Amino acid sequence: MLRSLRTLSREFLGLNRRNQDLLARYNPRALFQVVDHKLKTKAALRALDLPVVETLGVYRLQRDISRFTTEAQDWKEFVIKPAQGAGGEGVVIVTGRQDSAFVTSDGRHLRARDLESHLSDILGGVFSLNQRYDEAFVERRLRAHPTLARLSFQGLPDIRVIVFRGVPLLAMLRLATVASRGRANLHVGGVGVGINLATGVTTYAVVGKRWLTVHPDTERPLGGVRIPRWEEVLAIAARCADAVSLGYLGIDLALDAEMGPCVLELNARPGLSIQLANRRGLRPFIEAVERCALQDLSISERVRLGQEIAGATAREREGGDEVAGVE
Amino acid sequence: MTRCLVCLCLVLCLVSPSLAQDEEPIFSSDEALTTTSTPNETNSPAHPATAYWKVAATMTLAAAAPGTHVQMLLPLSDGRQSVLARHTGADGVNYREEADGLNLWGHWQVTGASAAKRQIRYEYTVEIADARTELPTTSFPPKVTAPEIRPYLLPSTLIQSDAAQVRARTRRLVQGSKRIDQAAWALYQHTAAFLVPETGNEKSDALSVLIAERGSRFGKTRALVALLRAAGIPARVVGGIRLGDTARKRTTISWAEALLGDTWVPMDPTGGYFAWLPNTYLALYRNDLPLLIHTRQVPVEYTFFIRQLTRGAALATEQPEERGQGKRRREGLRYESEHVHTVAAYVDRPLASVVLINDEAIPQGVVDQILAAAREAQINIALLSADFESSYFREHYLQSLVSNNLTLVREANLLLINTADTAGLYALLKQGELGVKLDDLHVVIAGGFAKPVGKVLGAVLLRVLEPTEVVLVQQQSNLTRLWEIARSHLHDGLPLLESAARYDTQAVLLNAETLNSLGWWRHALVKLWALAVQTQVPLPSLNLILVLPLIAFFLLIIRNVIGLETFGTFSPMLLSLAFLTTGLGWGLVVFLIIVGLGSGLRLALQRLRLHLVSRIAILIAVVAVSMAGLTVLGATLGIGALLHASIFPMVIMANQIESFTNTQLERGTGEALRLTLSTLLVATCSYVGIENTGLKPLVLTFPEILIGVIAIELLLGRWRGLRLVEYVRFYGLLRQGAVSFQPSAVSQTTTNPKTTTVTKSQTGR
Repeated sequence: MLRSLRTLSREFLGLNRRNQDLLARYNPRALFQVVDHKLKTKAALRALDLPVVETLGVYRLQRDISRFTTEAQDWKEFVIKPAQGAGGEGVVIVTGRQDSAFVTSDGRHLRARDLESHLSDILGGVFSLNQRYDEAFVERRLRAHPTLARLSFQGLPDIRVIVFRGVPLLAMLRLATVASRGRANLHVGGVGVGINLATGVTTYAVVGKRWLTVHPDTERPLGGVRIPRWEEVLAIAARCADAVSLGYLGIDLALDAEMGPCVLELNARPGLSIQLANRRGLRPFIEAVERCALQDLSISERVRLGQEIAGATAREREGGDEVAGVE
Repeated sequence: MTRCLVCLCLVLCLVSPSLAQDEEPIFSSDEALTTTSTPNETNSPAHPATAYWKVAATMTLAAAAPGTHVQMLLPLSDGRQSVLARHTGADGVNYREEADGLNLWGHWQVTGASAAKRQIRYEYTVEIADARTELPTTSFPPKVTAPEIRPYLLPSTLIQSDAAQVRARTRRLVQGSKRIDQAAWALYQHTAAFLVPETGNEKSDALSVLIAERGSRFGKTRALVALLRAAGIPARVVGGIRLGDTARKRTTISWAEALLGDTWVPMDPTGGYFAWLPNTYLALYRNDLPLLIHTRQVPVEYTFFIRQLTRGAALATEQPEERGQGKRRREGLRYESEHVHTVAAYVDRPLASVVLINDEAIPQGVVDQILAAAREAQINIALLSADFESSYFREHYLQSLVSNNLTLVREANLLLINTADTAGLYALLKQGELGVKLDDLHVVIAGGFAKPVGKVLGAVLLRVLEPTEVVLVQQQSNLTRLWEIARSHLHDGLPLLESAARYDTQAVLLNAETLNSLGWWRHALVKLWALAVQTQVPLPSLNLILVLPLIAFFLLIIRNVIGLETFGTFSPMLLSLAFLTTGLGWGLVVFLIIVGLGSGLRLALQRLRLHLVSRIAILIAVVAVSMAGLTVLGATLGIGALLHASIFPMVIMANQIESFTNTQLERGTGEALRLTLSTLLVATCSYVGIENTGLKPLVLTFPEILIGVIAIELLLGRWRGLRLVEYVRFYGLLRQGAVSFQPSAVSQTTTNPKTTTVTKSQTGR
């Protein structure tokens, strides 16, 4: 038991080490502002031709809101978001029209006037937790790829990839549940499903403090699902790091039914539960990347490096200490 | 300067002594009907009976400005009556006692700024026996008397014992008396036969009364005293009140006392009592004094509320009985009187005097036992106690106990301080800030503090207040044992250390010599803290400041080693400081009430979608109103600690509410409650750490601890290990076998030539 605890601390990354060895060293605070503002993130990604959701409209000043009613006539399904919101606060998803009213994903019927006042609230900073004035924008509503849509209970499933110095190291699929009320975040009750980096096939699924084999609401098996366009997903994730030049990043992507992988947002302080969903600690991966010279690697070489590191450490571990099977 | 003015006022008041001494005519007419028969026939008791009384003297000051001063004469125990308990309580008023050997004065000084009506209350329980005084049969005229008796033979303005008419009258009356009791009886009978005054505003000095052969009660008493003095018998006026006939009383009575042989014999020409007084007569003072002296131009109304008690009720602990009376609270009594107690016993010719300061309510049984033992050992004793959960208030009230009774403390030979922690030491050191010196005083300090702490703080005390010696007694000893140590020191003359050893108590002696034998560093420290006290830097606040780094260290461990999440990293520290002023229990109650109310409101505000700053501003308003409400509620219910909810830092509370609701909205109510719980848990731990461990004074004794703390913090700052919570979470999940759906790694590519370290050959499965 003592030996396996030591193995645990050797392999798994804790908050202390993340904050000091990764965030303090690789993520300069000055660069956070790009990541924390969704419109700035999008601009930075678009500059490198990375796929992002199409922005339909941007509202920076209160007087811009008067444009909304006329602009909205062309939009069928769209999402209103605050640029600096967190935790899904202030997001309104419009799924269709009924007469003159907009129908939202939770079944409410809102008039244009209601949406305008909501936009005004966003600009006033109501949903912005860092108490600043905010900007609002409207995006096209994404539709999940059918392979993933089958698994999730409502909500848009997303893929989180941890990228360290441009090398993707761990990935997990996040699914909404009834308990998480449409959100895919793990700490609100979403399911995390580990993904084999080399093959793009899902491995273990975890919710809260227990392991799953099937989704608690849809009851579909969660393991063994091959994520479509997996190499593409990893390549996009690896390039995102170039766009914002942060060393340690969590990249959230969605797989749209039409346009394929597309970046939702970047996270400069990604959580550590992804290690659990993969039953794999990040530390050996990080150390392996730190020993490599990375300057001249192309995107595909970086992706392959990440896949090799993940595979190599897995084998190393199988030969040596076994974390997963502690008795 | 103001002190001089007050003194002047007192002098002016003294010039008109009839201030509070006008007898109500109703009683005086009754009492004048008594007969003038022989001593044996004066309605003497069939058998001596003891009565128990509870008397509450209340004084109402209309529009009292700060500095207003009132003093009143208070009863003392003599052979006939004994005072079993005393309490005083008043709002915004300082209280101290002053004894001049014969009388006890209570002094009240208004401190609060409000000009509202004030009520001062002084309660005492007395036991009065109606036993007859044995009359000596020594020869008359009496022999030459001792010098301390001489004042009782001298004439005064109102008692003109040297006037020719008085001397002539005396000579005529005592003619033929061979024994002193016969002479006194003759003089008593003569004055007892005087008539009641016709108009009620005749002069009441001895000479006028003797000439007119009629006079008020005070007049007759003075006439008798004048006659006795002229006959060479020492005599004095006694003032008091008559209990029993009515529940409220505004009048005082007087009688005379003559020293026959070795005993003071009471005689009341108006009531018709000779060498005996009924158990309804309570003596308040000796000599012709005004009962009440107060600052001029402040009208003072006073009333005595009188209640007869059964023996059991008088001897039982008074606390529960008082708490049960809801009525008392509405009479303007402040909660302090429920927590601060002064009990004293004085003897006629004390060998020594002791002041004992305690931080808990003393059980009545122990009080009785100690007072009885003190009387027996001829030792004056005053017991002062303050009883509060929060050490902040304990220190505060112990301080005011000491400063209000400073005269007592200074005149005492021995000061015993018995507190659970260092509160007693700090209360005494506070006097050092005011430049008080306690020469010739022996101090015994018992308290639950580590030995080195006692040594350093005791040395500071020695340096600042300069008592003869300080004796530290380990642990909080029980009061009886402390008293025994004091008694054997004062009564049997044993040195304190020896008397402590006699009662199996470990003690450490500190005096000028031991002060010099301290190491250089400890010596410098003692000098430094003494300097702080002398420059009026309160040591407890200094101590609290020095304790903060320890709490911060504790929070660092909680967060980075254990991994417990709280609302804000350092807000548990601020909360625990808030608890210091309210005590833990009430602090938690206030916190939960206010955060509960605020969170409800914050959720309601959520619909309005307000900006963060205005939201917090509204929350602060709500917190302020609920605190004001709790304060008033606390006052009405008589819960003292709630009164001090206002010291609770409001901004911390508003932020707690904000964090609570944000967490609730983002992560659910369960999570928010969990975070609240862990915040409270950590705050409670910090509070207990400061309050209930010897940690706090230890920092003052060993400030070098902080260097060690900083060193550990440097190490922890570079520590990158998993937190305890992470271990539990990861380990708990990983030890459960998960179903693996796929072979875990599939990789067929060869090692990239540019990578330097991933060298293991890869083989796919």
